[in-house]
Amino acid sequence: MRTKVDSWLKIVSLALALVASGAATAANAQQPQYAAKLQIDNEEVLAQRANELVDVNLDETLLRIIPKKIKAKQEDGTEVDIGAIIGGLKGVYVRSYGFNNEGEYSEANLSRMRAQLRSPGWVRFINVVRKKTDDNMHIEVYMMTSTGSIDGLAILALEPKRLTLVNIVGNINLEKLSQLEGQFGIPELGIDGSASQSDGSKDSKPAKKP
Amino acid sequence: MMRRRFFSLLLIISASLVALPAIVEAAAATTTKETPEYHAVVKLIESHYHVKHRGIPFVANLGVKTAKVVSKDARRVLRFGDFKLAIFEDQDFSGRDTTGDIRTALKRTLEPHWHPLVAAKIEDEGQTLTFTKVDDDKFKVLIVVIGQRDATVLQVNLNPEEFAKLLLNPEQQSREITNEATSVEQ
Repeated sequence: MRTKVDSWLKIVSLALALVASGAATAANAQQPQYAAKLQIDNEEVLAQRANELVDVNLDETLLRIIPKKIKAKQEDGTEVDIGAIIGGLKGVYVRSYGFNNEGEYSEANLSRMRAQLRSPGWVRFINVVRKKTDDNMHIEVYMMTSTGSIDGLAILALEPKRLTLVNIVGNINLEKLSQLEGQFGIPELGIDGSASQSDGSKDSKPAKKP
Repeated sequence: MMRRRFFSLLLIISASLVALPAIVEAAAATTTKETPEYHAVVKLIESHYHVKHRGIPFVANLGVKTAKVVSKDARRVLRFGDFKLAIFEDQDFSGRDTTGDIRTALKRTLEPHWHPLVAAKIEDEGQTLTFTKVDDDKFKVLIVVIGQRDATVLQVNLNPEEFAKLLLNPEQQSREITNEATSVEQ
């Protein structure tokens, strides 16, 4: 009798496990995976250490809700046709950490992201040091391409007391990249996707690492 | 005849008194059923920081703008549908954690149905955590603001335009929505 009960229990557990795994697979299948989406979610150490933090996650479902004709005002008051720029985007993810002191983050904190950016498809096309009043800002912009189109961008902005990581997934017009600054939590980084490739600043010397 | 009428009235009053708690309880249960995540988040904040909240009715009596939202201001009613607000005033939120713990706990409570849109922290000011949920044509937003001495949990439905605005500028709009919902009526 007991053996019979045990075997029934086994069958029921197996069925439940199958249902659970099926549900998990279905849940994963709802969100498409894109090669240009970087894993930047596990930076809790930096989040705890930072005195300022901005963490923005806009996936494809949310971006689709934004009307195509929507306009946004930039800092100088000019209107940007933001709906047209984000038409091909599949995700926008921003992490910005501000620290009280220099040296509170290091290259070790970037190793996971850099490892992903070394994978096939990613190319660094901007590497500039921008002089700011107090500190230098070192900006690196990476692009993932496949069959002639852009699949995504990654921006690393390193300052002695601030670290910003931006991951834009989907097709974007590089000439309009700067117009996304100030939107979706992307800080004003002064990136000019069109000019930087020809202005000689490409792959200039990196700033000293904190 | 008089006596009969008196007893009928007494019977009706007694029946109403017996039924009233059940009706109130049922109404509360319906509200909790409709917004389980909101109530779960309020409970989480209470247990995490060992604090107690005040809900809308009490706050509205104090003249807080929530009263305005549920009254005649059509523009605000359009902006905030299905309004839920819990306020924690003059209590200690500095003891337990800064960012990580509560953020992780909120995510655990709300995911996968709610999407973490923005988490922002400014030292000395506190943190803002905004989650969104899109149910057909309903754009639900849950905003948790935790300062040093005060906190709010706010759930609203936004119209599509307002929701798009929030997506364009998540941090600033989250703060504006919370300020508008909680600032004292002039």
